[in-house]
Amino acid sequence: MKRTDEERMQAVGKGDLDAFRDLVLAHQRSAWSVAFRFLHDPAEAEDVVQDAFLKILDAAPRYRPTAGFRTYLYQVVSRLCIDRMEKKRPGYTDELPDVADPSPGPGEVFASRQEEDAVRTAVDALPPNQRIALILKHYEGLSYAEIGAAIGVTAKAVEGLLGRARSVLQDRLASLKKE
Amino acid sequence: MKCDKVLDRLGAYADGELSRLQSRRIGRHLEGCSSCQVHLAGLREVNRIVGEIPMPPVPEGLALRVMAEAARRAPGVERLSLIDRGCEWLTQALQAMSYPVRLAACGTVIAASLGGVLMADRITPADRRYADVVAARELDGVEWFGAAPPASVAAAYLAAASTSSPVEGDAR
Repeated sequence: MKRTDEERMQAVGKGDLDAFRDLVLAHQRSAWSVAFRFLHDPAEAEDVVQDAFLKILDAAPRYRPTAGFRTYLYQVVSRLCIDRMEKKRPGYTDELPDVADPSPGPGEVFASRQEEDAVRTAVDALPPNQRIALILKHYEGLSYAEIGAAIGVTAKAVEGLLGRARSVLQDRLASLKKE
Repeated sequence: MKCDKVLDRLGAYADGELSRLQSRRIGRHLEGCSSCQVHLAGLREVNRIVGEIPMPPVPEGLALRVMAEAARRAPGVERLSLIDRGCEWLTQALQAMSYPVRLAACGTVIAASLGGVLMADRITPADRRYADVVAARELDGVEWFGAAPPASVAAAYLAAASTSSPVEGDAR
């Protein structure tokens, strides 16, 4: 019978490394997605993912399934990302990752690429809490309540964070269209 | 509903986070307000662009590296895991047995343990030496069929063992 993540986590707490491997395999993509989108540096994102899973391994004996494992993972990854960013120099957000754009067509692509770059730069310049809320909403599909649980605020506060973040992005997009 | 109230909750409306009633109210306002419709369209465009930002795939071997680090940092975990699994298996096996069978199993284990302790006390140094001699003979036999000549070490050991006294105290 397939175990739930919470049951696996309790098994990890008893020293079951196979259960830990199952958790890593099942959630590495989510952890990587959040870390990479936040940090834009593959090496740093990998460090964060590794740190997050090792912290979870260490904390497993004390784990109580009061919240879902996924929320717990996002909580650890978000905290590590924000900590890393706070230690970094301020101007790093201008560095954009060299990621292949899968969208086809030469003509409109330039404008759409410009928009994407502008939005991405604007996302990177957002305060950490707004940025992590945006990442958890758009790429991980979390509800406001789940985002709140992950970053330690209420669902209402998440609505505020997302509202301010999107307002900045809309302004940036509007000014780009005027240029 | 006024525009400022609607705009405050437009993000939650687009994300499907509002109750059915709140959502219906905002929907009704939007039907008759072109300004709020423009805001909603702008919001949806931003959401679309943010959602389309690509991401590189998970680095190959990431999980393996995590597991290697986990095993390096917690070398005792795997051993503990085996012990735990053994205990779990034993518990499950005992639980599967009926009460008298459980008692019989426990009795057998206790009797075997006691028997082992008593037998260990009865083994004298002479018995141990005899066992050594037998082992040495077997070893010698094996070597006899080998490519090398009969090993002098085993032969010497056999000779020494057979000449010495069977009781340790008598050697002196």
